[in-house]
Amino acid sequence: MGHTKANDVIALSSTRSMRVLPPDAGSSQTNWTMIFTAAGGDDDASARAMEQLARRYWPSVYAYVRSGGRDVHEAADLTQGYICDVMLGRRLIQEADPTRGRFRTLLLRSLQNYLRERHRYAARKKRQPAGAKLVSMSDIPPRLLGNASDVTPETAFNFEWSATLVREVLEQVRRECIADGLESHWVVFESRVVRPMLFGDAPVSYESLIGRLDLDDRSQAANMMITVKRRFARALVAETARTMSEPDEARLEILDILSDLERL
Amino acid sequence: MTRNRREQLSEALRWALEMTTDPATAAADWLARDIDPTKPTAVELLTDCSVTLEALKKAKDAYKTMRVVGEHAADRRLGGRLYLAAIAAAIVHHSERISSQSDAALLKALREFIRDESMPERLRNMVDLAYLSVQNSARKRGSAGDDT
Repeated sequence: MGHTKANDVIALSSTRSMRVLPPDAGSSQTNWTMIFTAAGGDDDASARAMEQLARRYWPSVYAYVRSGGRDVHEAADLTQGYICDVMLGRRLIQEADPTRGRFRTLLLRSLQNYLRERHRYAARKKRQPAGAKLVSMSDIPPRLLGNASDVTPETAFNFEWSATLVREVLEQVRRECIADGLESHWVVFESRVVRPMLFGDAPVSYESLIGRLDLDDRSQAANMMITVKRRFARALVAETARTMSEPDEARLEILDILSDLERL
Repeated sequence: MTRNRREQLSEALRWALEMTTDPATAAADWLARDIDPTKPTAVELLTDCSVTLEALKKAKDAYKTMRVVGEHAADRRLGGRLYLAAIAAAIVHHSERISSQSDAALLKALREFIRDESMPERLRNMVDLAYLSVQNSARKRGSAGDDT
């Protein structure tokens, strides 16, 4: 099994700060590339790819398990078991075939199979890798500790899947804006859009931003915000396409997730 | 998972969908929503007679800037059209000129807009009304329109 690699995975990041993920957890590889790199052997690249996979997908896995009615401890243990045995243990890699559809669907199906197996054999003993713990209670953001039964497991999974995607893309766009000399643009977008969206903050007034960033007027600030919003939207489509076997399917994938979220 | 968080996440996903459909229109619509969150599109903002003159002035300035700093030619072109549409909306809905352009220059620009079949029909109809209004004013004042 893949516990040796799993033990290399430590301290999953919290999602409560603006700097959502550490820089090395970025999206430079497609999901499929990451999987095949992870399958590549015992070298550093393989370990890093496994860590990226675990970081990216454990919130979705946990949300699915928790929404099925398990308590937080059981959900954390099952999430850890799934990631160790299936995702990092290479069973998922063995099943992975880009020509057979979306990575999200593959992950969800393999998770459902795993939970059925666990239920069938009533494997009650806790999974505890010898090294660092993959998912500890302190790693789980408070937003994921809430009521387990207000949505279906599939919707919880899709929500966390897309929330993780949005957070990663925001961090990617932030880094690109800074690299391109558009730091003020990012500040306007963050103040008017990101913080209200992620944390429920009131949007910072244009008057305040104009003064702080030494801008000409409101219309300049508004267009700066639009510039970054467009970068974000474009990056979100591109990143979604990375989980597809056919990039053109990104729009359908987004529509699919959106229709599930809006069905409630 | 609260309804609010779901709606916020859904909104971010909708931005991506809008981008894949028509990036220039998406940018124009985002500017409209930023000015009046109850108006989902630029067309709604510029054709609704209940929109305040202050909001139309903001729209005029925002689209004027888009005309200059828009990322692509399509953005700059659309920005120019919507800048003019905001001026037209102020004339039609508030009987106010929020532009210092001469009658002749304004009539010429409005007429070009009306002939532009890529613009939504609702906007072209509104701009048509503005054209008639400016033409009448010009005749009363005795200033020459571009078609006189």
